[in-house]
Amino acid sequence: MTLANGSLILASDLAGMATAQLALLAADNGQLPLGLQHAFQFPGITAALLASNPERCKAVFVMPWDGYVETMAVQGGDLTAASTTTATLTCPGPLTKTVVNAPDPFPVTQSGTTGAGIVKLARIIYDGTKGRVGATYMPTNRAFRAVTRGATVTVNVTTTSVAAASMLTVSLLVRQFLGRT
Amino acid sequence: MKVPLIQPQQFFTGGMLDPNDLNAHYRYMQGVVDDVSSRRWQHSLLSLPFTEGVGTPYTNATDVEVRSYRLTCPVNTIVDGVFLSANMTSAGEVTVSFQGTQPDGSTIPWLTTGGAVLALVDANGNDTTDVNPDRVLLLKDVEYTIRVSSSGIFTLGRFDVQLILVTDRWNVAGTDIRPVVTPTIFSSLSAPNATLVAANNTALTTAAGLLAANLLAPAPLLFVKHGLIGGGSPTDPDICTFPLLAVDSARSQLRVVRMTVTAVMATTGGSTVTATLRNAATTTVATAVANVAGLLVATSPVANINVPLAVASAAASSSSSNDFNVQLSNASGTVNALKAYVTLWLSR
Repeated sequence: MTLANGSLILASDLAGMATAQLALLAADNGQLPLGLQHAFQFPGITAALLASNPERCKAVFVMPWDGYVETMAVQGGDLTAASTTTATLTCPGPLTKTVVNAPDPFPVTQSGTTGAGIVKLARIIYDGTKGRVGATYMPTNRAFRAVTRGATVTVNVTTTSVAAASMLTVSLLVRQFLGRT
Repeated sequence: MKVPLIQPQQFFTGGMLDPNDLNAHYRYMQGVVDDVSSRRWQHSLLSLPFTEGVGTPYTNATDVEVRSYRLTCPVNTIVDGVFLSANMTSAGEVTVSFQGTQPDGSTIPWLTTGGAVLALVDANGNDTTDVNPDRVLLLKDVEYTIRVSSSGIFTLGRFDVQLILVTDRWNVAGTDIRPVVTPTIFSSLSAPNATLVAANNTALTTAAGLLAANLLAPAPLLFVKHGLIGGGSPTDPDICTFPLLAVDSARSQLRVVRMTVTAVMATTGGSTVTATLRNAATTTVATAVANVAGLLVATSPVANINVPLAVASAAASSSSSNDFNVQLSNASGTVNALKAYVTLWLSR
């Protein structure tokens, strides 16, 4: 189609123009959410250190945006065989309760057996299947955790490991959109 | 969320073409372009842990380069605020400041404990914290160094500096390219003018095309390893490998657009420190190499990459078996790295 004075312009030319522009808008990747990862490392965490000063076994941050914690992933590297490691995420805000009448704010907890080599704990957060919020029970693997902008978020870790040469990494996949501010 | 395909005006053969039919389309497109492009800000968080480990804190004896992080942003990046969370003691004020190149908006110090910190927690059981809400502009491809310092004795059991970052998808290098269209509006008095219609068409197509372009608004992710043993060891790989979570490509977007590694060596004479990015099949998909031969500190060359962290479904994205990972290694047979860290920039 050539839109020029003196040329024959069909209605389909104008319709095509509109359709093409709308299709470009619909292809705007910037409108898709971003699953942004935050990672908190706890090198050399041991039960003794935890007992002496649990304040060192945590990370605190201020949520920069309204987002959804979609996944919490815990990876241990060379912790003591058959040790138990737990990561707990807490923050104020409108969180989805897993159990009716649970205290608010409720924690998101991931716990399991760690050991030599790289061990990843089973993930419990959103797997894409539908759940029912409310009535009696919200399965932990079906929940979004909404975290509001400005909330103080804390990640605490505990372990029974005694291996000083170790690495524990707690990652959060937080979903968000591009903001207007 | 996708923009719905709503066509406010249909053009069909046999219909009467009224100027208002064209205007309806132009005004709709103008409004949608303005609305959609106003979603421009990408917020993110960068955690800088100033400690070697839970049991091995930084002290005033720690090498000055180990007490530093170097940061080079792939786009202009605004620090919207910075937050300190620490469990520490000190005989005097402990500060965090930019060294050398000072970004616009920064203050010296940037963060401070406000004086000596005599106990790990105060009488109310609280850690040491500080906040600086001043906006700081980190220019694209300029290296900035952030360092913790004090004139006195200190022990940083935990000292996390959290940068709240904002990037603008329409202003990545100092020029605002947000698409704005002001189409010519016709009236019943307008003479037929296909040239103006064509001009409107071009302007709107260009603006809509900008929206469809996969523009950068990247966010950082940093992993650090202290004591990266030269030549490797049987135990090292497992504590030098960090997960990158795969995301469901149907619902979300994430790709690595830049990866750099910085190494601080114990002595000069090392060779290379490498960050290796691998996919779930453990295939290497990207590397960054810091050449530390004869140097105490080196950062890999800045190079942009494009590695999607994508899997096919939400269920797959929640499985650890689909994680990517990044691993740090030190090729030197004799020289250990006091500290090595890899900085990844993630975008849509």
